[in-house]
Amino acid sequence: MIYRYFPNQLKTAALAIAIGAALTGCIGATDHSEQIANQRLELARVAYAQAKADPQVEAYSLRTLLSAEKSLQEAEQVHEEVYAAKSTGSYGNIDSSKKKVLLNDLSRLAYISERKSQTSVALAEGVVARDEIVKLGRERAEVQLLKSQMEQQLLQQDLAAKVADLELARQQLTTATNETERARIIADIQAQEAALAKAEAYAEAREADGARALAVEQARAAVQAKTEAQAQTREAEKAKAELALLLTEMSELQGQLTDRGIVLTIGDVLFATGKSDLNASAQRSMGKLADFLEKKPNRNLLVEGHTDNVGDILYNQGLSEQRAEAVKFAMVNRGIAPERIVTIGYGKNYPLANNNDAIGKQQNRRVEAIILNEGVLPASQFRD
Amino acid sequence: MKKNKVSRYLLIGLATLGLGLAGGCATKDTVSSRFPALQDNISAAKAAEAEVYAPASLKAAEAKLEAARLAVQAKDMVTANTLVDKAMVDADYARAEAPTVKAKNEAKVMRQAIQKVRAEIALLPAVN
Repeated sequence: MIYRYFPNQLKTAALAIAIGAALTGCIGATDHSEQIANQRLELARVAYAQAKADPQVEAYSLRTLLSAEKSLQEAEQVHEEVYAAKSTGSYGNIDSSKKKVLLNDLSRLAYISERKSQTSVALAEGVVARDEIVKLGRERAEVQLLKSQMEQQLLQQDLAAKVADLELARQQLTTATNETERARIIADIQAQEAALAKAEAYAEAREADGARALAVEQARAAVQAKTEAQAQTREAEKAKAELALLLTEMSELQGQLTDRGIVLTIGDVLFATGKSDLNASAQRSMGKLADFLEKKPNRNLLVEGHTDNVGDILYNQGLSEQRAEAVKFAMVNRGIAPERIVTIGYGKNYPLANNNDAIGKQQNRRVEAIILNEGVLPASQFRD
Repeated sequence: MKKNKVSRYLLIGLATLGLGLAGGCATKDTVSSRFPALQDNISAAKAAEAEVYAPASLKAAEAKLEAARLAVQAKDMVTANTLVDKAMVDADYARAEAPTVKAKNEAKVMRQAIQKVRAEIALLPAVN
């Protein structure tokens, strides 16, 4: 037992047992390690549900969330194994060492799942916080600039007033005849000149401050540019994660990331020979693809039909168009708006492999469903 | 009769061999080779300033690594493996948590700084 090495965790475990038992009303019906494992599983379920409900997690740390889900599923399987025996009355017959192993495994898997769920949330929150820092940096630079501009205006206002006073004093000096009065005005002029020089020096210093602030702002802009580049990398990671998610659900299809988006290849074997009917296996994938498109309303679908070089041009053109249409039909049947999907048949014009052997021909007979990047219109992505 | 006796010896032999193998598997050190990777993960968490921003999860990982070493010494490989598994996800969490907490703190400081400048602007005299 790991708790032998963690006296403090024993306290936590004891608390967990009390809460778990109170929640389930199972005091006395289950033993100590079983209660700990159950409590741990419950915590993992809660952590996963919280992570799953957070849209930022799906956007920025999907891969970690999927990993948490996998561990949770494994934990649930072990849990079922333990309780299947209990429900059939053979629980007492489980060898105590086997039961211990199962409960330890349940506890371990649940812990891993909980931590991964927490990690997925932390990763997503980190992305959001860093994006916020970029925005706040911009806002701070703006308000500092505003303050600086206002201060400059006030300084200029003050300087203009001092210059006007000085000019007035000089005019008074030209008209003054009394020696005492002239001496007073001269002293006044000298004092005003000193004040003006001081104010001008201060204004120059503030201008230098402004230049430094500008340099800081330029450095901040450089950091922002770097952050934005990182954000683009994250978007690329997100696209990869989306592809991974799609492909785990659509094992019949091949997929790859391209500049245009995610390209899913529906191979010839998923159509009836020489026809455009999708077989049962392909229909399952179409369901998954429709689910994906429903969740991503800003992404459109371009469906391209391709054939090998066997048969005449008209036949190949017709078949490629019909097969692309079959995919669109399958999507529309599942509730995807038809205006989001554009089909095109290219016949034998764009082979993937050479048409010299059966393998190459089979590779060329395909439909490519391109899940376009957000906001991209399908018609803008036709081949030349 | 003789055939039954041979079968019995064979069964006992196989059982002994099985027990021997099982015993060997339970005590053979298959865990120590995982320590360097775990240590690297913990070091990466420290490099991400987890000691400051994610101390709890970092300490959880370090404590489990230490406990796993003790378990290996005690030849309890099952427990040691479990501890390494858990320590790995603790360290992963510390690595993710530390920069996030740091970024949140930074954002908070920036918000306060912006508020201060806005208050200073409000106190400036009007420009004619």
